[in-house]
Amino acid sequence: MQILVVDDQATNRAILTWLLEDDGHTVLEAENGLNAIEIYEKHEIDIVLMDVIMPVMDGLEATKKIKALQKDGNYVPVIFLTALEDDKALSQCLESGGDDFLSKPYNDAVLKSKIAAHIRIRELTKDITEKHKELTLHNSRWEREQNIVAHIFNTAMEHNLSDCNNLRSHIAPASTFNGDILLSAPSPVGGLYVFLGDFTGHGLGASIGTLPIANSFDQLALRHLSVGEIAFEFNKMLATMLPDYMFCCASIIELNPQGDSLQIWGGGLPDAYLINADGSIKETLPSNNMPLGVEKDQSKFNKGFEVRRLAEGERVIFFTDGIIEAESPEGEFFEEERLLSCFKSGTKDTIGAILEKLHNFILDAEQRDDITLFEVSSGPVVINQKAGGSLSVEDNYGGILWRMSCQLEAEDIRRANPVEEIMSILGAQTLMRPNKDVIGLVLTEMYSNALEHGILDLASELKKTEEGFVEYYQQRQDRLENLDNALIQINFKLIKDDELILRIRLSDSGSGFDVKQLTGSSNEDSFGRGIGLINRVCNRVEYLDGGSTIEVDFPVSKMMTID
Amino acid sequence: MSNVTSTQNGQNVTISIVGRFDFNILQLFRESYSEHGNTDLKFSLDLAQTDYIDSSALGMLLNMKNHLGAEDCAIEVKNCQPNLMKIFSIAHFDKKFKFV
Repeated sequence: MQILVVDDQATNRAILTWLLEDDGHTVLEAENGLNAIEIYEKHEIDIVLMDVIMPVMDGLEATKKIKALQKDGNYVPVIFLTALEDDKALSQCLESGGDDFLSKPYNDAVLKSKIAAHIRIRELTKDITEKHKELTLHNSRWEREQNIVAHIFNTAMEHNLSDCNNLRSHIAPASTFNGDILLSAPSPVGGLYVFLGDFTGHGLGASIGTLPIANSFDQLALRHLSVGEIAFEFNKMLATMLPDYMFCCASIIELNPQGDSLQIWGGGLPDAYLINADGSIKETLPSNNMPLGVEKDQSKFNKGFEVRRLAEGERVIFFTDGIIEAESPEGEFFEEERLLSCFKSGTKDTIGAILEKLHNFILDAEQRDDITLFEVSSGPVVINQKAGGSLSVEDNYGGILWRMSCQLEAEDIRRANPVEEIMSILGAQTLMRPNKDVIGLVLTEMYSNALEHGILDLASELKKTEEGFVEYYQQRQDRLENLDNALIQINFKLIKDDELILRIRLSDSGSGFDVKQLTGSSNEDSFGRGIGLINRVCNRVEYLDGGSTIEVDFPVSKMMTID
Repeated sequence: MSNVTSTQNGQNVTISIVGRFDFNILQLFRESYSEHGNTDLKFSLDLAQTDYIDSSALGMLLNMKNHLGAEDCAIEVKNCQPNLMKIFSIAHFDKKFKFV
């Protein structure tokens, strides 16, 4: 250690120097306060031994200046060695910034142990200062990263909550990052999907899992999957992504466009409630499945879901467990009973009633878990599309007007149903996706007619009786197996006129068939239904070449809705 | 692979179809409702796990209805997924079967 000894008496300095050097320290000497400051500024001093009364500048003044020179965290102890003994003088030493004092004549052993003690404090302070610097650095880095991540989360979540008249919600995260996730998306037919999830834990760790879910929810909604299938997809994603101890309790619902029927998949969230128009509980809706991310064996996952009718004024309410587990300042839980007391006959605004009760219960207690709830009410679904919404793509389509054609020979026709293969290509197009099912149906019917009546020359009347129906498909199979030399040509063409149209032209190598014979059948018959279906969804249906070619215009822009 | 199962619970018979509902399961489907001799049974179809139908399925449903001599909307169709519902609606099948 480098020690500065300040004393106007050369003998005193010499004794101290001798004593300290003997202990392995380096000693610098100053004969007054001013001199001490000069030396202190030039050298790395670890400890100062200071006399009080000196000419030019006394010890008190010098200590003040030295302490003023000490930068943050560089603790250099000043120990006064003084002949003064009265309390006032000693306290003056400490007030000037001194750290300790020792009365002269001092005992060598006491002086040495005092120096050792102050060196320990100095080392400790150094250590703390370094750690503090590191922490400050980490903290500011963490804050910066947290801001970035928070931004990503917020945009992901905002983007996903539609402004829908049927949906009300309340979201209260316990920290910056929410382990709860509430998403909604319009279904392609005009209904509404809502996803409510609660990841184990809260904060950033719990939030991580919400990102992939938020990002793929729109896509799954666009594919018009059932709530069970959406749950299956999410489970698959989370089971591979999350560590074993993490999972997501969730409920997924789909409200039909008329707003009178609800499909529900529930896994691990608290009971939801179906509420009567008057505010009382009509039915408790328990979650029937394991949380998402738990079942690693996809084949065991249950895609089944519940269906409920919603009469006028009825609604459903879903929660995460943050509500029943909310704590009062006394550490008491909110619990189900308090929640249930909010579902009283005459309560119009159930969510409002719950939030008020919760607020009066929690008071100033710290919120420990994320709290999220939502209500979906009956009635035709109205979604107020945000500017730049993604559903109106078709109206101002600026993409390529493509064509696609395929030629199916006997071998292809025998093999399996090629329509499925074609639809997997067409269905991948964003443009076609919302109507994928209906286009697939149209194509299937066109293909079946061409194959069964054009190429295999099967008689539709056969299907009039139940036995004939079986006979018909038996003949179909036999003739198909023995088929050689046949051709079915399918052409697709995207046309932009007043509206966007997918023109499908399908020709077969058969000798044609009498179209009238097929279209005359009524709804009671079990045959001839295919062409009726095509007529109902296409703008134009035309038969050419004596029935061996059919051309239809399917309106891509129009969303097929259930009426 | 598609699969047809029928479960009887008292007077109620539920026929579940897993996978594709088309002429490939014609025989299985016929057996599922015709094997019950008693005529006082109440039939319903569970389509929760059905992911595809075409017009041959519509024909098979009408055959079932005729075979059982069921009144309009006497046969219930449960858990019909939206994509299938679209097809049933286009065919106006909601007038013949009760979708619940």
